[in-house]
Parts: sequence; C-alpha cells; structure tokens
Amino acid sequence: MEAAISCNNLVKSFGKGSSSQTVLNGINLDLSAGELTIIAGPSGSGKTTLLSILACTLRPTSGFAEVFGQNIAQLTNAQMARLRRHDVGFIFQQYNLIPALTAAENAAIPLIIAGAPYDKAVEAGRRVLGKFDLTEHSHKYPRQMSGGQQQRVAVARALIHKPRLVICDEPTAALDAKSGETVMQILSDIAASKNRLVIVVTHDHRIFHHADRLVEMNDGNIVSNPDQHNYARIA
Amino acid sequence: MQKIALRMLWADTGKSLAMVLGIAFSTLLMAQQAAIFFCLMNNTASHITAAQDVDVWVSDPRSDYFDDPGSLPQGLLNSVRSVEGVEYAVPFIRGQVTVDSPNFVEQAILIGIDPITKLGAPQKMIEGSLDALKASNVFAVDKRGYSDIWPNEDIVLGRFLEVNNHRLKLVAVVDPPSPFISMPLIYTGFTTAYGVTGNQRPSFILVRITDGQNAVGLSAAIAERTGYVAQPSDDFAKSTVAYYMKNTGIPINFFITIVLGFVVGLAVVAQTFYLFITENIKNLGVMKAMGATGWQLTQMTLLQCALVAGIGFSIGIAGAAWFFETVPNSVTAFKGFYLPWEVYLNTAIAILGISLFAGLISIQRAIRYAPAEVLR
Repeated sequence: MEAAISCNNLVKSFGKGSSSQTVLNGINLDLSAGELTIIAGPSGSGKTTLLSILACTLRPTSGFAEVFGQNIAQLTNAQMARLRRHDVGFIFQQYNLIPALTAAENAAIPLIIAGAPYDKAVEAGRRVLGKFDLTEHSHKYPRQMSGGQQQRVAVARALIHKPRLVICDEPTAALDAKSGETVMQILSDIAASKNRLVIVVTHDHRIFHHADRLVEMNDGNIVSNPDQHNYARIA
Repeated sequence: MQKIALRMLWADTGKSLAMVLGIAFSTLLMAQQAAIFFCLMNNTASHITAAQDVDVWVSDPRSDYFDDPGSLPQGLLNSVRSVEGVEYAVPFIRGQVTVDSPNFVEQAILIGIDPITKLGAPQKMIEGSLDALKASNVFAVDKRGYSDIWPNEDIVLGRFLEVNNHRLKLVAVVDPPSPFISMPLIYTGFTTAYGVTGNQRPSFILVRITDGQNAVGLSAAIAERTGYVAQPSDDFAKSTVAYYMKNTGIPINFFITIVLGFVVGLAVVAQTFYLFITENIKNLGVMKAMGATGWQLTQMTLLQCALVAGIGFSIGIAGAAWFFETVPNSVTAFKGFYLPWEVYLNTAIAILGISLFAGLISIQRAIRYAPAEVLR
C-alpha cells in the first residue's frame, strides 16, 4: 500500500547557534491510510513535535516529510492552511471547544472555516453529533457537558469535513477509562472503515491495544516501529 | 466566521460592555465638546452672519474683529457711496453701554442700525417692529436681554430703560442668533446710538451692492478708493472667527478635552480588546490549526471591533444629540447650539480610527500565534 505519510531523515531543531536544541533526530516513518497509529514515548521524546509536522502546522528543519504527496518543507503558510482545512482533523487533549458556541456549532467549525454557509454547517454539525449519540446535546454549551461528551463533540468536529488524516493529541488523557475506551473505539472504527489515517499521541498504555501500529520514541528517535502483527509483544 | 466572531464577542459580556461604554463615552465627549466649540466659534461672528442683506463690511484697519470696532470718520460714508456698484451704504454702530433698571445694572451691547434700510438688523422678531426704530430714543432688545433686565416678566412694549443715562422706550423685542459675549443686545436707530454713546462716528459701514456686482471685486474697489478695510460678509465673519481662534485660549482648551476623549476611548478599547483577544488566543489558535487563514481571523476581529464601535458610537452620538435637543432650550448659554454634521462625521472617523487601531493591534497576537502551539 502506498504511504499516506512518508518521513525520511526528518530533523527538527529549535533555536539558533549554541542554544539550538534538536528535538527530532532523523526520523524515518511511513504511514498508510486505514491505520490507527499510536505514537508513544516519555515527555520530551519529540512525539508532539513529530505530530505537529505531520499535522502540517510545523516545518522540519531538514529531511523530507510528505503528507498526501505534498512536501511540507516546500509549502507556503497558505498552502499548509489549505491542506489542514481540507485534509486534517484535530482532536486535542483538553478538547479545545469554543465555550461561546454550542456543541453543533463547535462541530461545524471546520465547514465554516472552509466557507460553508453557517446554518447549513451547523445543521451538518447536528447530524454528525447524532452519529456519536449527542443529538440531544447539540444545543448545549461545552460547560454543560461532561468531559466524555465534550471529547465526542471534538471527535465529531475533527471528522465533519471528512479529512484523510486525523491528528489526536492525548485524546483520552482527560477522560475516565470508559469514556476513553469509547473515544478510542470510535477512532479505531474510523481508521478501519473510512480508509483514513489516524495518528494518536498518547501516554495512556490502556489504549495501546487499539493501535494498528505503535511507534515508540525516545530522545527524538524512533526506538520501535512494529506493525499490528508484532505490536502486542511490545505492549 | 462572522457569526462565530459575534458569538465569541457577546459571550464575554463584561468586556463587550466595557468596550461599548468606552466608545460611547469617547463619542459623547468628542462630539459634545466639538459641537460646543463649533457653535461657540460661530457665535463670534453671529452678528455678521445674521446681519440682513449686508454684502460688504467697511471697517477701520486697526479693527481686527466685530467685537473690536473702530471709529470711522463721517465723511467716509459718502466716499463709500460714491464707489460704482454700491447701491447704498449706511452707518452701523457697535458700542458698549450701561443699562439701568430696577432689577439690573449691567453692561450691554448697543447696536445702532439704519432704521430705513434696516441693513444689519436681526431678522427674527418676537414683538413689535423694527420700523419703530425710526423714532428717536426708542430701542429694541433681544429676548434674552429682556429676561435679564426684567426677569420673570411677560414682554410688555412701551416700558422705559435707562441706557447710559438716556431714557429709551422699548418698541420691539427681537430674537437674534446668540452672540459670543453674553450681554443684552440693545438695538436703536443710528442717530439715537450716536447720542447714547456720545460718539458721532460709525463703527462700521455696511454696503449693499447693486445687482450683478461682485462683493469681492467691489470690496477691493472700496478699499482702494478709501484706504479702509472692506470685506464681503463671509470674509469678515471668517476673519472674526479666525481672530478668536488665534488670540484666545478657547481652541486649545477644547482641543485638549477632545483629545482626552479620544485618548480615553483609545486606551479603554485597545486595552480591553487586546485582553479579549489574549483570552481567546487558544480558540483562535485552534481555528488556525484547522486551516483558518490570518485574513479570516482579521476579518473576525474587525467585525467585532466594528460592531462594538457601531453600538458605542450610536449610544454616544444619541447622548450628544439629546444634549443639543434639550439643553439649549433651557440653558440660555447654549441657545442656538446644535450638533453639526461635520462633528458627526469627524467623530465617526475618530471612532473608526480607535476601533481599527484596537483591532489591528490586538489581532497581531493571533496572527503571530503558530498553529502548532495548540498541540503543545
């Protein structure tokens, strides 16, 4: 299968001169659509930086990172924004729902950003919330919902525009075990049934069994990168 | 995106209200003070602009403005009349007198006009007729002056007033535009005025030109013929206003207040809006991560600013309009004051500047915010 994401000798450094700090040290990675990939590792291992580059929010310092055939290093800010707008969905650790908007409006944000009429986008938001059993909560504000419900709204928001890549930053960190399991099951199903690539950065060992591929990082390097067939041995 | 911007704005009631009130206060202060200044400066020339049918004012070269009248020789009148294009020319006296009544001993302004042509006379009458000024030792007074001299009394013609120890009979009450100097205005025929002031020389000569003549050209001809200053009415009004602008502290005082209104509005709105953006920076970052462009975020911010500015301006300008609708009717010092369209326009431009500055300064933070920040 052709790789949806391909990284070759990817390096990312922050700062200049003597204060420069290299966070990624020559990452090589190929990820395919239809997979749920978990990137794990201790704090400071570089997993969030790698995720940021794969999410087209950060450019590498050197090396090659290609997302759906586009070389990230060569894209302008506007091109990166367009790629994110159409092909990337985001799920954040703290949900990052906009407090002033209802669940349906929050879910509709990617469509609104892409230029869809507001009312149609919110209606689509209501429909997609229905798929996550949140129809009766669609008019509620984030403060009126539980953490699990908010994260499901965030998942709905990440998927509403049918992105090819779903980026998840610690999606279960703020959830109890049951809610976390529900969210991961949804993400796992999405990867499998919609032929999308789902990348999850997490510390949460409880959800490793959902991974089709588990990438472990340490000190800016990938220390193990098995596929599903041998991931269980590592977990 | 616009609806999201509005929902985010109104969700923060405290800051929205602070910004609206900041703009409203700034608008009220700037519009009200600017309009008062505008009307006050217009009043310095109100005698000139309200003078009926006067085309050209001839004055002493040593006289800078209306309230600093010169003393012209009697013979000058005939010299002016002899200039081709002058239909008629009449003396006009502007003096200061003491009026003495049972309730009132104060200074007043005496205006002596030609009662035949009524050139330079006020146009609005309350009681009586200016034709009555053809008689000797009679006078007309402005409505406000009447209230000062005979407070709380109905207008009664035929009563007497001592003016510079001359007993004059009231024959008319007029309603001229407010003068800059708050004193009663006593109108008499010029012969009575000569007698009352004890000065047989006119302060100005007022000229009516023949049809087809040009006031500017004729003014130049009169000046050349007589050696005195001759100006079309508009120019004399402008030079009178300019004198007050240049030689009094009024403009700088009003300017300081208006600038303070601008600065207070700018400080309140810019600071509050910056805080609003700072508190929403993560939400804006999330939208940026999802592909929102800097221009989309700028549009959102400008819309928020425009709405706050629009509501605040409406409240502030409504307050100023209410002031000028009600206060001039009850407070004599503000009689005739109004809110000119120039003040509306310039205040709107100032508020637009404030909101644009606040918006563009604040949005810089969101534009510089890297989308990768939301993943940290």
